[in-house]
Amino acid sequence: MVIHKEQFASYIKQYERLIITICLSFTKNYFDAEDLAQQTFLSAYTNFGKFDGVNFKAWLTTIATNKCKDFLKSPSRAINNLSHEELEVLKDSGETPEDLVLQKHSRQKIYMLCEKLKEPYKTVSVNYFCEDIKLSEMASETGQSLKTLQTHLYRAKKLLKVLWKEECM
Amino acid sequence: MSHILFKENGHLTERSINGLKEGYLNDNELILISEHICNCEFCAVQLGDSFNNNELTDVPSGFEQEIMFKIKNIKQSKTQFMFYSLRVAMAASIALIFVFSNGLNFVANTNMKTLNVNPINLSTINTINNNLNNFSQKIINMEVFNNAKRKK
Repeated sequence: MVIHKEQFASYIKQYERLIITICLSFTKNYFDAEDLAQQTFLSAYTNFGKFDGVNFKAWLTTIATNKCKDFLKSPSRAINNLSHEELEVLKDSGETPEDLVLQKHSRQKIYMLCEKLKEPYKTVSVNYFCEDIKLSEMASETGQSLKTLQTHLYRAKKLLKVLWKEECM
Repeated sequence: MSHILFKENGHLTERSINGLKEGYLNDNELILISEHICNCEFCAVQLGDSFNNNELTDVPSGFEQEIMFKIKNIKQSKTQFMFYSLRVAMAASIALIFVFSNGLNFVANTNMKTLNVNPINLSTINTINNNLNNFSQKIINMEVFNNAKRKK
């Protein structure tokens, strides 16, 4: 089974928020989740022939969960769990875990982390994650090549993943 | 732990799905849940349907574009690899045709024009050699004659 790019783009639009949320639930790191969500869609595109054609949402969820499982099991990832005592302290702050998760993933938090980066990574990441400006728009506005901006964003994400881990977990 | 995460029929409990969504499960529990969802379509559907629209995280607007760029790159690299393989296959085929056809034999059996190199003229050296030989022979003869004369 072959899928057209336009059809797949519409699938991305339809399920991108769900997939990134699932990845975020597993990784608890927005930037890792964004990365895994991209990998999920790329895997779905390259392996579309294996899709049985019944439930695309469930199939995507399975791929995303598989990516998250590999991520959680990867030895390079340091496992830093909060103990139950630490969780109790968090609960004492008056916020439910749901509130904490929502707060953690708020745009303000993302903006705060992006602001900590040095130029040119700061501008690229703020524009991309907070101002909702696409890389192609940035390229046409600044005159920089798209490849350069993609490299900047890739490096910014790498730094942001570490920053998130240090500051939010 | 597993009795909290899984029902008796083996599927995920609501509590484990809520724990996943709310972020209070530890890594081992998350790994157990993920391993189960990978092999259970029912629970994958349950997880996918458990999120309300207001619970979904925002995605950068360039997210889709970035994926489409990557898809394009994958396609390009596949095409490049295909062309590279084609070139290698063609080169190998041409080499095999050369080896197994009569082409190389033809080249091997071609009468090549040999260069006519004149031998070096050694007559002068030969003359000098002969003269030296004659001279040394005369010395030997003279010595023999002198020796015989002394004995007498």
